[in-house]
Amino acid sequence: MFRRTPKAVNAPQSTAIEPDLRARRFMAFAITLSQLANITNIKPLVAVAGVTALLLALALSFREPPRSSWWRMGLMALTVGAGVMVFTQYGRIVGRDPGVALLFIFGPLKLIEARSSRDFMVVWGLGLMLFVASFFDNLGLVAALSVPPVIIVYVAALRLLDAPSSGSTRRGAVVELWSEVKSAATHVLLGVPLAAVMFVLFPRAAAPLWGMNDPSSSKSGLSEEMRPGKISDLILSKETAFRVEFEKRVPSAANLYWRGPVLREFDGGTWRGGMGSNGFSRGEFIAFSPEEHEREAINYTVTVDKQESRWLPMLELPLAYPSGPGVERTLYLTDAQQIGVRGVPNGALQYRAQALVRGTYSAPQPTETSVDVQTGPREWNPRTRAFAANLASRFPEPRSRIVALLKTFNAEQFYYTLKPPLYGADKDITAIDEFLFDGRRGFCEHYAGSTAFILRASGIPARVVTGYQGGEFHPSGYMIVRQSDAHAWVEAWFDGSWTRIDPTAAVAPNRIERGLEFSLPDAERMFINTQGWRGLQGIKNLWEEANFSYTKWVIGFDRDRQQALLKRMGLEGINPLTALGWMLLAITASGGLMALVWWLFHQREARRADPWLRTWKTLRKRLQSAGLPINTHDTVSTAMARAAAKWPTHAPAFSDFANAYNRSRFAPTPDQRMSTPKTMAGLPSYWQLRAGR
Amino acid sequence: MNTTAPSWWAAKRADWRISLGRQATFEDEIELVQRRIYVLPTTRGLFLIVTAILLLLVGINYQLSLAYVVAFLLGGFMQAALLTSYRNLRGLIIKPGQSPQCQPLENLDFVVSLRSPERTRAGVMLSAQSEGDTVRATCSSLPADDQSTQTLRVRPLVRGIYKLGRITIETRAPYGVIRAWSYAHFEWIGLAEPLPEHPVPTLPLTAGDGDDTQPSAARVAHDPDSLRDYVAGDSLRRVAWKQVAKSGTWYTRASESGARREIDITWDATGKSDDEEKLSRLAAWVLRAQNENVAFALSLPNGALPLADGAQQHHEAKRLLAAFPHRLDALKGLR
Repeated sequence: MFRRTPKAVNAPQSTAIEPDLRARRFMAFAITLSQLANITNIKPLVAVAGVTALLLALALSFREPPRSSWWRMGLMALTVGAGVMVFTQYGRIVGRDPGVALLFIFGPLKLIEARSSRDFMVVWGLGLMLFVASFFDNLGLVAALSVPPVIIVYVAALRLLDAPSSGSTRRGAVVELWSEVKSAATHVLLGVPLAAVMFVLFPRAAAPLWGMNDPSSSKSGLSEEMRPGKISDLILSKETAFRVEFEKRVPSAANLYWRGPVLREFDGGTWRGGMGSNGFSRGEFIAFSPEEHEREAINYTVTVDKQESRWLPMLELPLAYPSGPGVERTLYLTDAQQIGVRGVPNGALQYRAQALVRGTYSAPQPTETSVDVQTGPREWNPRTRAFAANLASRFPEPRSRIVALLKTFNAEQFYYTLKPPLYGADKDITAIDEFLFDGRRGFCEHYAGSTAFILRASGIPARVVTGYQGGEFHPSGYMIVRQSDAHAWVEAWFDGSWTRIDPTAAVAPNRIERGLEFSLPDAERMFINTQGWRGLQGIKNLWEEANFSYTKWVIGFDRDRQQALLKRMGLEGINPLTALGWMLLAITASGGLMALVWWLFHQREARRADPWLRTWKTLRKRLQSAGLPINTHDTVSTAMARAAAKWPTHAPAFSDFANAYNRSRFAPTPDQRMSTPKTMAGLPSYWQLRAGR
Repeated sequence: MNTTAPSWWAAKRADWRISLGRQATFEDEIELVQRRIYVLPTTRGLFLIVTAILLLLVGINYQLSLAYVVAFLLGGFMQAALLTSYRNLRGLIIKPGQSPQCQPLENLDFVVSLRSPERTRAGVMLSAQSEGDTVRATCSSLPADDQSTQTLRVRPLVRGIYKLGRITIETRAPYGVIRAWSYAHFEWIGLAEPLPEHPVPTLPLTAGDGDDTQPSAARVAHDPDSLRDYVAGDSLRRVAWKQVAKSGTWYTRASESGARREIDITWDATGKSDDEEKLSRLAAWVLRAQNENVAFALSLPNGALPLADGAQQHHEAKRLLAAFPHRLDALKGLR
C-alpha cells in the first residue's frame, strides 16, 4: 500500500498567513496616531511609558522580533509594571482615565508581542479604542477632522494584514502601499452615506447607560477664587468661551451678564466660592408671572467647547434647569441662583436655557452668621473700614449708600486698566486700602472685590459674582462670548432682594455698553484688538462658522435636535422600531449606491480600453447570450464565421466586422479611418438574433 | 408517467440543492451568479462588529457624538467590504478540466480553470473534499479578462475511482472581514491506477517460437521485410521456419522488434484469487508489455480492449484496470 509522507500534500495549509513587517510598521503608525490624539490628556509618566513602548515596537518592526521565552517573560513583566504604574498614577485601575492610560501603554506593548493576524487584530481594536477615548477630552473640530484619516489608516491596516509586501524596490513598495491606502479610502468613503443616515436616525438615549461618576476636580477656567491678577490673564485670551444662539428675543448689550461662580467667602484677602457656601444649599428658581414669561423670557442655546468649571454660564436670571445631552441628570440650583453640574463634563457641552433679564431677585435676609456678611480680620484694611463706617453714617439708607459709593468711583480719579500695580504685595492685610486710596488703578476684580468689602463693612450683605459680560455677534447670527469677556460684579442685599451692582460700569461705562476694547486706554487696546487681524478675519469667521455648525449638528446632536430634524424631514414622532425600518432601508439604498458607483467606475474604465476590443467584447456577449458558444481562445474570425453560419442573413455584417477588426489590429500601416469601430452600427441587435432574423 | 410540473416548492428546493452544491451537475462550466454566492463575516469581521458596538455604547453613554461617527463609519465600511468581497466572486466562471488519471504513488490533479470576464480579482481560494481530505488551491490574483488554472491535488491511497466532491470557491480579500463563498459541484472523477506487482512477472506469452510450455497466448506476426539471410551462428530460435519450409532458403528474423509480438491479457490468466492481486498482476503485465513493445488485447470483467499497442492502448488499459469493477461507459463524471 502507499505510505503517506510525513508532510502530506493534502494536510490543510494554514489559510492565515502571519502579517509581515510592513503590516507591523503600518500598525505602529496607526497606534502613533491614536497616541497623538491622547498625548495631552494623559499623565506625563504614562505618556513617556507609552511612547517608549511604541518606539520599541517600531524598532522591532524592521526585523523579525525575538521570540524566546525570556523575551516573552520580559514583556509580561513590562505589562504588569505598566499596570502598577497606572495604578500609582491614578490611584485606581478601573474607570475612565486609568482605562485610557492602560490603552495608551498596552496597545504598543501588544504590538511588540503580536505574531498571528489575530494578535494584530487585538492591537487594532486597542488602537481604535484609544483613538475614540481621545474624544473624552477633545471634541473640537480638529478632532472631528482627524476622524476620517485615522479610520482610513486603520482600515488600510486591515488590508496589509493578509497582503504581504511584494514591492522589491523602495519606490515600488511606496507605490504599493499608497494604492492600498487609496483603496481603503475608497471603501471608507463608500460607507459614508450609510454612516450619515445612521447618525441621523439612530435613536439617541435620554440618559446615560451606566454611571459616569468620574470625580474630576474643578479645573481652572473661570476661577472660583479671586485675587488680583487672576482675571487679567483671561482677558488677554481671545479664545471662545462659549457661543450662544438666541431664539426670538435678544437681550441688550447692557444686560448680557452671564452668571458664573458666585464668590461669597471672604477671608480678608481672597474671595472664594467653594463647596462650603455653594455646594450644599439648594435654591429655588425665582417665580415670575406668566405675563412676564410671555413678554420677556429669552430662550437661548449655549455651546461650550470645553467646560471646565462646575458652574454653567447662564444669562441672569435662569428660569428653569437647562436641557441638553449629558447635563440634565446632574444639574442643581444653589441658593445663589447658579446652576451647578455634578461631575464636570470636561468637554464640549450644549444646553438650552431660559432666562428673564433682571438685575434683582428677592431673597430672605442673610443671617448675622452668613458668609455673605463676613469681612475677615477686623484689623485688616483699616482705612477702607473707616471709609465704610463714614459712608454708613452719612447714608443710612442702603440704596442711597450704594449710589453714593458708585458716584465716588465715577467722580474720583479711578482708572480702569489691564496692568494694575500689585496691591498688598507682602500680605493681603492692606490690599484693598492700597487700591482704593493709593493706586486707584484696577480691573473689574479690584472694583468688585473692594465694593463688596465696603458694602459688607458698612453692614450691607454683598457678594462677588464672576462670569462673563457681553458678547460679540457673529455675522451668521450667533453670539460669541470670549474668555476676554470674563467679568466680575457685585450683588448686594437690600430691600428684601439681591441686586446687581457693577462698579466697573461706574468707572468705565464703555466696558459694559460696548465691550472691553473701548474701555481701555489706547496703548492697552491694541493687545486685545481683534480688528488688527483684518486679513485673517475672513478665515477666522469661516472657521468660527464651521466650528459652530459642527458643534451644533454633530456634538450637540441629541435627542431633541434629532426629533426636530426628523420633524423637518417629515418623520415626526418616529419610534425606534420605525427608525430601525428606515435604517434597513438606508442599508439597502447604500448598497445600491455602492453598486452604482462601481458600475460608473467600470464604465469609465471600459471607455479607456481599446475601442475595438471593447466593441468585440460587446458583440461577443451579445452573441453568447443569443446562444452562440464562443470560447476564450476563439479568434474574431472563427467566431464571426460561426455566427455567419448560424445567422446567414447577417453574414455580410459579421464578415465586415471580422475584416475591419483584423485590419485595425494587424494591418502593417495603421489606417487612420480604422482607429475607431464604425461597423457596430451594421451588426444585428440581440433581439434580431434571438428572433433568428 | 407523471406529467404534472414540479411544485414551486420542489423547484425551489432543487435550485437550492444545486446552489449549495448538494447535487453534482454535468454542466461544463458554472458562472457564479448572485444566488450562488453566500456572504458572512469572518471571525475578524465579528471582532470588528463587536468593536463598533462597543464604540457605539461608549458614544451612547458619554453622549460622544464622535464615537457614534466612528462606529457608523465602521458600519458603512463593513458594508463596502461585504460588497467588495461579493464582487470578488461575482461573475467568476469556473470550469473543470479533464478527468485526471494517475500512476500509483502519484497525485490526481483536478485542474480547474477560473475565468474572470470583467474585473481583476484577488485571493480566490478553492477547496474540495475528497475521501475525507480537504484539498486546497489559491489563486492570489486573476487579471481582468484572463484565465487561471488551479490544481486541486488529491493524493490517492489505493487504486480506484476518486470523486471530487463539491468545490468551495471562497474569498476573504481584501480585508479579511467578510467571507464570500460559493459552491460548484461537478460530476467529476479521477482514476488511480493499480500498483503493478513487484517483481514484475513475465508476460503470459510463449516467449519466442517453439517454447510451448505456457499456453500459446502469444502469437508472432511475421513481417517478411524484416528477414535476412541465415548466417552461420544465428540462433536457431531466430530462424524463420515457416519461410524456410516454403522457400527452402534459410532466413533469420532480423531483429526482435521486427516481430510484433501479440498477447492476450485476460482476467483468468493471472492465476490469483484476490481481485486486487489480479489487478496488480495485470497492471504489471501491461507495464511490461509497454516496455517490451508487445501488443496486447485486454479482457476484464468490466470491459475489454481489442488487440493494439502504443501509448493510447496502455492508457486505456490502465484506465480500465483503475475503474474495475465499473464499466467505463457506465461511469459518471469522466470528462
